[in-house]
Amino acid sequence: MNFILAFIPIAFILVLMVGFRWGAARSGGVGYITALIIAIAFFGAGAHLLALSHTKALLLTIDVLFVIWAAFLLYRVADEAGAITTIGQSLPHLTADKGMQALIIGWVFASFLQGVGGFGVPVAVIAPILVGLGFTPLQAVVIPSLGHGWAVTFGSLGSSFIALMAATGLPAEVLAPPAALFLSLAGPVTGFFVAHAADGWRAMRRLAVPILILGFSMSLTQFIVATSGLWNIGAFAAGMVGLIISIPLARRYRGEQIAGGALDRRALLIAVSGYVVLIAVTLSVQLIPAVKAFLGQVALQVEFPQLETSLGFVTQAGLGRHIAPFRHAGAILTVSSILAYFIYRRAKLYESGAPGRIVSGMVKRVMSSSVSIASMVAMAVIMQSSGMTDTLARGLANSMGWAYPIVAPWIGALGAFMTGSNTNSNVVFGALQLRTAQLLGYSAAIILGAQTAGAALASILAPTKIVVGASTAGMAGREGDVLRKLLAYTAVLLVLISIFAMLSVWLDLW
Amino acid sequence: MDNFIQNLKENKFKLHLTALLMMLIPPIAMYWAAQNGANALIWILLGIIILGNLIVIIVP
Repeated sequence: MNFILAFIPIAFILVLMVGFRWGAARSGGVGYITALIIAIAFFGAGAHLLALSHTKALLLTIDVLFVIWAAFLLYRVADEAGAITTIGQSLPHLTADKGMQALIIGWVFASFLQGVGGFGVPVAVIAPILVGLGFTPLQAVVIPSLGHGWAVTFGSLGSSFIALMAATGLPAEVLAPPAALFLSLAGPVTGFFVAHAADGWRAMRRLAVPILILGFSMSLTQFIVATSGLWNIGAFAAGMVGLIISIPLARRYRGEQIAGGALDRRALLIAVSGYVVLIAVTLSVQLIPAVKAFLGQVALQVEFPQLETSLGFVTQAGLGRHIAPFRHAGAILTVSSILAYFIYRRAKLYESGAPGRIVSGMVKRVMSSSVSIASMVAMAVIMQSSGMTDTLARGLANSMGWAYPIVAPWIGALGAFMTGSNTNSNVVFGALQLRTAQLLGYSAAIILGAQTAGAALASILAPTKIVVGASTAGMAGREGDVLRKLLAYTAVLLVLISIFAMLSVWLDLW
Repeated sequence: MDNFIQNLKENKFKLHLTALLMMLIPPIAMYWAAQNGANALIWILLGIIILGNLIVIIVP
């Protein structure tokens, strides 16, 4: 009975988002209110517990929102200067081979865009470019959707990964290796799927060599960068490496004729410079000990007393999340955005009124997702401190037993599908997966790696992303076709993650 | 009714901003209220957060 009650808030979100096609913000609101009522009425949550749970949730929300807002600010700074368009338009000059175009634009460039932006940007930006190159609208949406999934967790400058850390309280050193390994193993497979979506089995065989070279290079880069403490630029660095390697590879697979017009190398260099700044700032803060220590002097951390429900469920006393505002990924992004703005302004890439448009565009775009994150984080923390998450975890542990590592990525996938993002899935299910892993005696790192990898790969199925992609490719109203096409590819990727997770447990890797 | 829904849609950004502030500001005071055992204040602040969520729910 308690298991069903604890599951109701999650079930409401699922039914409202999938069945009634509500957005994440509205569904999150219903999930929050339902969780609150059930926590008070059936799990013995009192005023003291609820107050401190909300304070914890506030800290977690600030931690996640700082990154999301700043990441989108950088994207808007570049987009307003025309940098994204310049990079996108330069790529078709490299090759006229349809399969290679799909790989470079729909996989490598999509991964890069996910690294720097996210929030549905890769599909929204790339789908119209692919339509312009002669791909069908369905292919134009499916290709970048498939191409960016593997880069979601360490993309958006780490916002999904920071949400996983915030929801579980585990550090990056513990969480990054399995998550990066699972996604890096899935990376080359998505490359083959992109080639298949572009030109069938023939393209997969013909382009196997460039797919393996690009896939291996990008995956290895993401793994090394993410596990070296630079998880916020894991996908971004992978995309950058992929773009650099694409140039010589495209020359070997140029097709019959090169797209018309000359490549403006100067414009391309200026366009990319905004992101070079991000690399420089990130490396300076993360790798120079003096800078890291200086910026870490100011930190926000709140002490929480022990919490107890009237039914006796106890959350131990402890310190809340440690937030160093000047060393935070959000601060790094904000500084990079400001520097990038001055570079683009010096290059005269802005028209008058650009700063206003950058800020207003950023605020409008992230407001809805900010509200949904605030609601869902509060819901997740209330469920955690009232014992609802523990009840769910015990139920899952009893019913799944040894097979839980196989199921873990599918739970993450379900969360991403219903909430529309890897970040939200990690917030909603992170603590649940952690608790279940602890109860079953499995490595929390492996189970949480499977959670976020499953969520990342299935986030491409989120109705919100598909709607954005379909509308920009001119096939609004045919979202069902896109979903059907993506389902088979995604199911294969999730099965792979289940196998990787089970193997990791058997081999006792972490 | 149609006018009401249209108004909500037109003011979606303002309503979401208001709702976000109603979700983020009360928890600051909640920490103080919890430390001082001010249960009545906690329930009032919780009401504000619930109201913020209700605003989000009614905006199409």
